Amino acid sequence: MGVREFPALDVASLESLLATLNSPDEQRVAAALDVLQDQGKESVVPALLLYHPSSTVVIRTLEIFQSGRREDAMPLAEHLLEHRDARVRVAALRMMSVLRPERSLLERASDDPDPSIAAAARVALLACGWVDVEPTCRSLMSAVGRGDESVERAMAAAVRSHPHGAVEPVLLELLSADDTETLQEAITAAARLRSPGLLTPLMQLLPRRAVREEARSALAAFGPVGLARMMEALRDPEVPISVRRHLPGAVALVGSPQAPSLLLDHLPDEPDGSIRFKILRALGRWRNEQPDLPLDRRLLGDALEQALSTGYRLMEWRRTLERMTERSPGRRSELHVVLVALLRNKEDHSLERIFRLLNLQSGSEEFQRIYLGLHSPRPATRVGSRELLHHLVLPPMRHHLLVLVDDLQGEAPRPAALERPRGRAGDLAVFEDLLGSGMESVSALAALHAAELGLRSLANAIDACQPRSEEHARTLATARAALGAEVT
Amino acid sequence: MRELSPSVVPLLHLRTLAFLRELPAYQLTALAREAEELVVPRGTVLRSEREPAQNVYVILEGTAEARRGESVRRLGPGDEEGLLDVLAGEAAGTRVRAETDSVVLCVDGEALRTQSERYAALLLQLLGEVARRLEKRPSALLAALAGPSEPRPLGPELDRVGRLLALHRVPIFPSENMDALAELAGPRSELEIPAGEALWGPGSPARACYVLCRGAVRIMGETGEEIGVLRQGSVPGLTQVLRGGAYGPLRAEADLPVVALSLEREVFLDVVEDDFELGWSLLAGLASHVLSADLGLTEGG
Repeated sequence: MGVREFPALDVASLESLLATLNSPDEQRVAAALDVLQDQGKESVVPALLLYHPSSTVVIRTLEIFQSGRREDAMPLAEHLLEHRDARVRVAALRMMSVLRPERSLLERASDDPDPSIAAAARVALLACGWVDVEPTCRSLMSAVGRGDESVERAMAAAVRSHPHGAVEPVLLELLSADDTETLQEAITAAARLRSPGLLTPLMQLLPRRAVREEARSALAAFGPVGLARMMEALRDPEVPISVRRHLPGAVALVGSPQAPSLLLDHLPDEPDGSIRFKILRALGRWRNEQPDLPLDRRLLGDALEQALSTGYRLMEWRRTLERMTERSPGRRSELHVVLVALLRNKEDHSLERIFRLLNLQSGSEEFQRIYLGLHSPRPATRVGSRELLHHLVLPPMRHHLLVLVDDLQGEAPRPAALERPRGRAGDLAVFEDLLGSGMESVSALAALHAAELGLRSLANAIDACQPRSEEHARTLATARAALGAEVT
Repeated sequence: MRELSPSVVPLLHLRTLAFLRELPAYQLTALAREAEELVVPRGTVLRSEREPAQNVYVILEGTAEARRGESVRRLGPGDEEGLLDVLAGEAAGTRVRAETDSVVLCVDGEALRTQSERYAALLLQLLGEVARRLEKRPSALLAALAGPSEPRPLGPELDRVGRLLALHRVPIFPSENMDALAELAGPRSELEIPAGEALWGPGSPARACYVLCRGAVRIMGETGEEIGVLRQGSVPGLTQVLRGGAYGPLRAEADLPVVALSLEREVFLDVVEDDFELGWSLLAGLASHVLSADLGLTEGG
């Protein structure tokens, strides 16, 4: 059973859910309705629920009847066109316009004094081809961004209910709305309409947390066309990082068998570490759901070697810094503590990536369990996990991986293979590496730490360091000035 | 204890819990699979005071009693017990006993962590829930947000390193998650607030929290009564950012001229989402403060 499926609904559960519909608590009723709809049991929802005192319940029920095409509820829905709550009237009109569209009713509603009802009716008229497209679209589009959320929401829900090409210009306008609920409806509408022109606006919504989940699902709903455009955007350095960062998660939702390979192919070329991590996470989810998922073993092996090498490098830098303060405890400043902690955390992240890659290689979650075991507060679990790792990973990787694991657990002597020249020369070499590491925080911390330690022979290395931002350049200049002052 | 056959009933019950309601259906389903409905006779001890909390219980029918030292809490239908203990990783000490024949939903604490790691939305919902509970306990809130007891002055420039040091000194931020703190220190976000000026309007949406680098902020209740003063290394606005919605009802005003880092909500939650350990440690820290308040261990603000 996949993670997105619900357990089978037995008779006792069904009875329990139907009994919950009688609850005076609207949240319990809404929860039961959600479960029934998720189970595809719209047909058992009693039409009399439309008489419920809660508008929330009535609107939710109308939605369910609309998606379940419950024409038997039409007479009761008609009765709701006179409801005191405009949101209920809009929902009733929407359901009727989908199940049994009636031109005269919609035309009357399009002149309703309530602008949300009028807007919903105009969208339905537009989708049914009963009004001129251009002026109607223009009038609807002009209502977006005027600050009336109820109109925008009614319009977006109507567009979602009538995903027709004629409403696309209105939908494009709605996809730029500020209101979250409007956007959620508009994104669902885009997923139903699936016009290629909607792909870019949908990708631009990925940085917005409140609608990201919906935007990802909508992009995935475009299938191969969406997949191709998302991969194009992922490879394009001109696309903002705030968008690119969320593309692997959206690609992961595409059902295409090509999607995992496309993401894996991109992995070695991806310059951003957080995106590489998200690619691994996406691949891991696929792997969990399909253990026999074919993945290029050579690419996985390369990525594994790269992650191991990064972890080793970070470990070497950190241990050199630690050794420095073991020799001279007075050098243990706050900058030193922060730099060491940062390198250690990055090293731990490298180890996590290694385990994710091992999971992908093995096709099981075994390495995930070992990784968790290695981080257990119980010493016996950590020891057992290490033994398992020793058993499962073959040489030569076994040795390197265990060195890294032991280092992070602080339970083994430093391996001779990692020795840098002892003393000042080794320290300076590590500082040079840190300055040119390409990681802005690491480089900036190293520069200021070198300055506070008065490591004047690093002045040239600081001069040679390529700043990654204006602020980085200023920090390097500050460090350089401090060292320069000491020279004079 | 008798275990009922698996059904969608756990799913229904979880969906009625306010802090889980907004989870996508498939995530709630994954969590519901880790839950079981238990029918327990009167007098059943669900957890003894010698056991650390390993499960979260939701009372569906009947009543139960949670006793910790002198503190006794009566639980009825819809009440939850054990969430904070599980999140805080607290040691043993609470005894939970059914007072009547009861039906209880039992969620495995380890599964809660696993599912939170798998689905960031669950982690964020839990953070929001604990933040809401903390806000109902003002002195604990102040203790959770407070800076170090012996603050050290920051350098004159809040460049990337200065910002990273400022974040590193915030007690509620786990210092071992330095990579995530470095990510938060990335964007330039320094702001100055003159004495007497409000940090936020109570009705305005909580778009950022503030790491105080210099100065002091007075925290006041709805009616203007002083709850306490936050100084360097504290994070006013953190709970509001975690739970979402508007800043109110708590008010915050610069008591002395303030220099602060503004951590935008969208960026902050993205970082938490990408670094599970940061989020889980933050959750544990906040939950501990709520528990301390409930046990009367929190000193006044």
